Amino acid sequence: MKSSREFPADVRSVKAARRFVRDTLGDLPPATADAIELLVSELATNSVKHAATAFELSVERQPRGVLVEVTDSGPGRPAPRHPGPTDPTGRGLRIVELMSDGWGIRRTDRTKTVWFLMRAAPAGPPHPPGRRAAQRGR
Amino acid sequence: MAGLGDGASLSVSTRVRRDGAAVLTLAGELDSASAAKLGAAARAAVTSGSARVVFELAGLRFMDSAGLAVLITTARDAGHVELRDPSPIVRRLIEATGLTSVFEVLP
Repeated sequence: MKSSREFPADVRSVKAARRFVRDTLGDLPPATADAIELLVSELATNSVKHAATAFELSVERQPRGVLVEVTDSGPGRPAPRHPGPTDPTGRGLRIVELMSDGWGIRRTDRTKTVWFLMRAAPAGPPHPPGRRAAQRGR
Repeated sequence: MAGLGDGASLSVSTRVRRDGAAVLTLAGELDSASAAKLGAAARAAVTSGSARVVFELAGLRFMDSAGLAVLITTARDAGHVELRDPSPIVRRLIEATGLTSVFEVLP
């Protein structure tokens, strides 16, 4: 199931985007929801502060976890930086890299999408533990 | 410069202990919209002579890299920064970014 919403190019959209993911993912374990909320905040901040554009946030439950995408119309292809411990800034995308279970960037002519995946137990009725372990085992 | 509502989701109160340390107690959410408010309070504490700044984080329900930036700048300016009672996700953020050497993190 996928939910998405557009947010204006306004610094207050960052908080609104966090609230949107929390409302959408309220049933996840708190540690997982907290981490997703943090990474959404970083990506939304990049859209409204650096790209200075509106953005669309989409959240999709997948069997392997939660896929989050933030799409804006900003130029370029952002890359994580590696600030030293006393450099105050430059950590946003690096935090996404460090704390997600996978991430990437897609570009079209007009848009840029930064996505990340956070592993989480599948939603829906619980399966017997043995069966679920067998289904998920790799 | 801050627009209406900027920083409204964060509250900061400052007191100075008898040993001279400034204790800033935060509640709410610390992000790019509210970081300037904390930055001003922390700068004021350092400017008035506190070489040790304690951030009480028990009431802080959210912090992202905009908040980290204020904490790092304060550590650089003051010399010593203590973070007390961070939530599990704030602690994870500090550990993941390798900043445990910059702050003293206390449970």
